[in-house]
Amino acid sequence: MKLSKHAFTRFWDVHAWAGVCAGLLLHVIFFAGAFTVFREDLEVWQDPALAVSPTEVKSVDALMAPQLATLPRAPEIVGVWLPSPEHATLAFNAKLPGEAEWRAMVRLDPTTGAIVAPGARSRLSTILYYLHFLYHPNAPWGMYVAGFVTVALLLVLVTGVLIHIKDLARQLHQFRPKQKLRVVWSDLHKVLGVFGIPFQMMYAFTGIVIALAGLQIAAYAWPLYGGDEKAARQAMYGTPAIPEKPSGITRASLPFDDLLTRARTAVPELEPRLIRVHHLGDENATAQVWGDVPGVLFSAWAGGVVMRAHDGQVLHTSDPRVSATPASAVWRWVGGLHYIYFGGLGLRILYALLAFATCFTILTGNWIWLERRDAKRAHVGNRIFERLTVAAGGGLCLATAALFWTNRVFPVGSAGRKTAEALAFFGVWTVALVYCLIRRNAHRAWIATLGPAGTLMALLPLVSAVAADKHVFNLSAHGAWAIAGVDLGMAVLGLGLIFTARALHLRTRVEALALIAGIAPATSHTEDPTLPEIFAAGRSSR
Amino acid sequence: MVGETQGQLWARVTAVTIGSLLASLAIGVALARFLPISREARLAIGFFTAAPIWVTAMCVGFLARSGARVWCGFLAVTAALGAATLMAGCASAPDRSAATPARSATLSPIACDPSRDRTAILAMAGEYDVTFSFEETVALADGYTLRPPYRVGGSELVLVVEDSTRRVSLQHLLVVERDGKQHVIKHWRQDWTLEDPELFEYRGGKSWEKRALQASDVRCTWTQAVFEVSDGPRYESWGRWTHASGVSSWTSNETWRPLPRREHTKRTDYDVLLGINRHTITPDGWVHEQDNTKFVLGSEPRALVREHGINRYQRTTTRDFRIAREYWNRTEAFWREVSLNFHTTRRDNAARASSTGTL
Amino acid sequence: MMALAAFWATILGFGLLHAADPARLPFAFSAKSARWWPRALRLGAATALAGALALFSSGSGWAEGILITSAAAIFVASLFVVLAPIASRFIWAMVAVSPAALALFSLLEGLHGR
Repeated sequence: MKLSKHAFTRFWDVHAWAGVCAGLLLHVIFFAGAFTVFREDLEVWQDPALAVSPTEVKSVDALMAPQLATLPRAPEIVGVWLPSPEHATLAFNAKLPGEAEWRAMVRLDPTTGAIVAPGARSRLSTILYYLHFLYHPNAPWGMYVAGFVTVALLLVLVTGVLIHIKDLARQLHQFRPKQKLRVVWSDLHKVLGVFGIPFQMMYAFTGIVIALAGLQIAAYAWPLYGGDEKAARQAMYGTPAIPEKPSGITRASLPFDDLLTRARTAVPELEPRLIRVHHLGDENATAQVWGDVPGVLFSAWAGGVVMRAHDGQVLHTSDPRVSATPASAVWRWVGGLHYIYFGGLGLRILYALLAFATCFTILTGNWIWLERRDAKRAHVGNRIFERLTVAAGGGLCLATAALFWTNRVFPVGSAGRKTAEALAFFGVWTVALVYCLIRRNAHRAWIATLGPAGTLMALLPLVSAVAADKHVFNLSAHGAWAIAGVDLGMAVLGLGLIFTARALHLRTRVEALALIAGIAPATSHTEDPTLPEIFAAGRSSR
Repeated sequence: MVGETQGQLWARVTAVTIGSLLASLAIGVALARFLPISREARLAIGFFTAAPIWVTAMCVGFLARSGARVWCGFLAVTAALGAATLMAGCASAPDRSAATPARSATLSPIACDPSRDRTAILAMAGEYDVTFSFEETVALADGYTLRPPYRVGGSELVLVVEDSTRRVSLQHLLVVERDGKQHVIKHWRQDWTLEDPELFEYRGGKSWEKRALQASDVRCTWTQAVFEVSDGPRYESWGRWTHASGVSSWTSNETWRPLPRREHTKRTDYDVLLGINRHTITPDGWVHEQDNTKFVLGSEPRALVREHGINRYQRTTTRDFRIAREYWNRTEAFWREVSLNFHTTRRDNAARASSTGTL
Repeated sequence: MMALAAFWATILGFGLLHAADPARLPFAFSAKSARWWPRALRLGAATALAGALALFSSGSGWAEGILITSAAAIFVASLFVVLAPIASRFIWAMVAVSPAALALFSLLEGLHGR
């Protein structure tokens, strides 16, 4: 299929401009997304006390009773996260009437009932998770920004396919590292972009749906449900609305164990993950139990039961094996694909690597833009864009490394640890941004950010060995493998960044050597040395 | 873009970005409103295609040569679809895709208003003086003699035991007086489910069969599942609620039913009741009308006699139903367990049974 | 083990696909025998990738198997095309050992299963 010249030119420009306008934010989203794939593992890494022995919980009530007794009054909502493959601890949090925020989540050892963490003692995983969808509790609209930016990604992908469709198959296998750097970036962009289309399209679509669902649902409530947004949400997500107000009549709620048993009866083979009770002890109390349902794709969180808490009467069941509204069935696929509710550790590693590949696709796109349109960086806008690219690429790596180091440097439970992590991450990133903006040579800015970032990441296992009792050199401790996995993953990432920084540094040295030898260095990026020449120059210069 | 000023370029980009968003929303809403499929399927299609439609619209819009053309195109699409959707009204407008099994005459088109339907179902709850009247009307078998009419009365409390947007359950508790004392008899239960694609139908010989219904058949309908005093299944059928001329009424499809309690120990000359049930809310309560035909099954099923029944529920404020409420408070949990067990057994058996399996 | 075997099958499959064009091979190839080469290798690639799909699906169903195989194929393909020109020996060595690795992990899976 060949486009007309007019269409080709238009789509080319749309692809370029949409990529430039949204690319840096998308880079941040995918970079943070790569870490979010391992969110539960990071939660354990950031607080190694959470790596307790997995055990079957005999009685949730026995574990919860002491915790409920500490609450000054009956909670508006109480949530209990049962131990899972990702988290061996039992977690509990509550929201009390009159309080705007949820109370801190308490984590218990399911064997002894002892508190292993009286609240979140680190923000590391939360910072990266919120960054993934540009969210902040004080600025929740950031998620909508992420959604609209992802629409731009979908536009970029579609126009990218359209402009290359005539020779897509040929470009799939084309990478010419011996050509000029601009061609190298172009080939890399196309190879990673084309192969990555299924992955990127999937995340673009599911990301848009998840981020913008709150805005969208309101638009469909009127034509379909007469403006009843609750009914629309129920049809969309497959769950009924929970009564919002307590009745004021005291009526004891059934024990958690009883409610869980009833839930397992109502949805056979349900493996509960979360039980949440609204208005505990009130006649209107409602219990929701959510969990995994075996035998279906995306079984995680697929099943649910809503019950009247005082007598266990089942009000609603969600069981994809039995029935589901079309929208909730599609929603299960959207969530399952986006949150990777399938596969195992190997698949998550693949997804993280593909996310980094997407980041690299975006960066190469930016470099192609700069090389094609302003090789000499004559335009101030392009100079700023080039430096912002460094800040988003190298600066973000450095900020992430600083975040991980801060977590290990500050002892668990120390006051100010969470604040220090946030300051380290955003502070280092801001400093890196300022550095990149004032640095005259963007190339050197890359080296200056990637090198230290890689070094910090590569040394992380050693820092962990000093600061934590569970680490790569002490695998006998329970849960050490999960923590060591994060350390090793960061070390591998760090080595990759060091290698990249070195490759960039060697190129710079080639130019410096040429200057010393009296040979005019290449001033135009179209005459850049090829990669093999860079390596060869590096070896011969020693 | 050659020959275009910066201002024109920005105008065109703005036109495409905003215009396509408006148009795609209008398309999505129109799809959700007008596609001839179930409401839930329309919601899914309209919702999940919104983003792809927006991107497609942007691609189309960017091919236009001027911002004015873009605005014209997208605004025209938005206006046309928006007007069509507005004229069609919201969800209470006639649903063209629904099959309408109800036979009751109406003076206006049948509207789909689940919220109003649910209100009507909940209106059946309360405290009542109830009379049960059945009369055989037409003998259909050679030599058959019509039986005497059956009339009995009592007091009945109807409690709401489950209430959600798509499901309502009403429990009937009879209060009778015997030897100067009040006694509570747990009577029947009726479960109402919106757009239930599964039906458990009575098939005679104490057997029930699961039937899958098409989404188009059950659109805007409510299934009534009736359970007997032991919470075991009796019969199930589906139909539309109508609210024409201010009267809320539900009419079932043809329903197979086992012999009623008033006859199952006295009659052996027929096997099933085949009937239409009609529930109508009245100013002082509600009525349950039945147009039944008594059938003999076998190798050649034959009709025996036609019967008409009216159960009248008239609100009362003079009866004391405390004993019924106390009974229910004491035993609700137990009946909940019983019901859950029946439900689980039925589901497991249905999963194992063949298409003509038995429960 | 099964996942590892499937991953090596993916490497083999894409390696054969990449090698289907003699120009992309790391060694010289006689043009005379080139006629059967692309077809045979593409067939081999399809077989290997189908085998990868079957292996990935063996524990978890076809839908999940397709999703995992797609992700593995994207990763392997990207890595292959990028590394083939700059780390040719490494990447073709991976292809060369992939049949043995595939057999080894399948055997280990079979023994572990018993």
